[in-house]
Amino acid sequence: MASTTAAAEDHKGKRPLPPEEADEAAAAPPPAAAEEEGEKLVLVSDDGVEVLASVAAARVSKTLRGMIEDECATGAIPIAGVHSDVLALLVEYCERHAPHYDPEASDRDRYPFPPFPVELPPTASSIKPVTFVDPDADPHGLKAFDKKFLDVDNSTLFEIIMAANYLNIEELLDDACTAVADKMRGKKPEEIRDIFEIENDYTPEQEAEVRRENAWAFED
Amino acid sequence: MASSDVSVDVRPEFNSFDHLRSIRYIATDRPWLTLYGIRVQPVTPFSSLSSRPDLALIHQCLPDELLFEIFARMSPYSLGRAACVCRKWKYTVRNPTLWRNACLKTWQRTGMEANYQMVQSLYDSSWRKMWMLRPRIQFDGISSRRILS
Repeated sequence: MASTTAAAEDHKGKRPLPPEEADEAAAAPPPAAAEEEGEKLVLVSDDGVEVLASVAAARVSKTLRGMIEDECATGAIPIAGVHSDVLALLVEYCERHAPHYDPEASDRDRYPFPPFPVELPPTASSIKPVTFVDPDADPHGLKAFDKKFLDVDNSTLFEIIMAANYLNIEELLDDACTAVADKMRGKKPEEIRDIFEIENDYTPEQEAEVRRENAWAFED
Repeated sequence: MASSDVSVDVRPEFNSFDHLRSIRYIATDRPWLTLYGIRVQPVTPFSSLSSRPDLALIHQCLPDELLFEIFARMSPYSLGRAACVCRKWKYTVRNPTLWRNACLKTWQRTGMEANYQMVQSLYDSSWRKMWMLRPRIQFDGISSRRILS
């Protein structure tokens, strides 16, 4: 009751908004958010090329987020050891992920099934209804984007891993490392050597011994 | 006056250190003195048997910490095969964290505490040994079979 009178008081003497304007006012973002959208950071790659990134995209990187929060992100930010091509790729990734990025998401949310069972107290409060989450669901098209994004040659993939590690982009580092691991899945050592151009530095005796040690791995 | 009090005659052969190579001290040989000036090249444990640098791009680009991150996302069977690729990978794959995660995931029904007690009492605190020796059920999609290593 009191709330309705307060609302009436607040509205007193003001022209009621037409429905179109009311919708626009509701949809418009707050001024601070709009300002952040428009603001750009200048990232300077190892070879001196400047790459522009929005503040929202930069926040996907924990390294850059720390700089923004500490108000150190003024002027050009040098990104040491990252080539301009790779930096442009990373900015593209961050721009795509920024609208759906939750910085507070914990590892528990990202990995709902821990490698060991979590003991819960047998109380009614701990029992929660199980909601089925479709693992293949991709409402924002991010999984498809990530798959295409990481479908690159080994050299670029390794540089992406290095850059994601330096800029502390956890999700990208995780996905890129998984992409490299997937290239080895079900492959023989000879095939892995061919894929990554690794020289076999075992002597024949050492190789026979290490094969004997890991004979169980070839039963899979 | 004061300067003459502290002045000491220094024998000319002690002005340089060259005499250390030839001088014999009281009934004691010091053969290690002949090693001075010789440059010994350090041997890195994971380098190739030849003196050529490692040409593999994965080793040039990624430090061991990131190589470990890749291995952490591989199945234990893939890790066993990766150990056969080269010496560097063999030593990286030996990291007990990789095998601890594999064991805790494979035998998660046993419970974490029970697994920790088991690895200490039965497998000399070696998670890799536990993975290799402890019987496990392997699901290959059609049937489940008990693997006894």
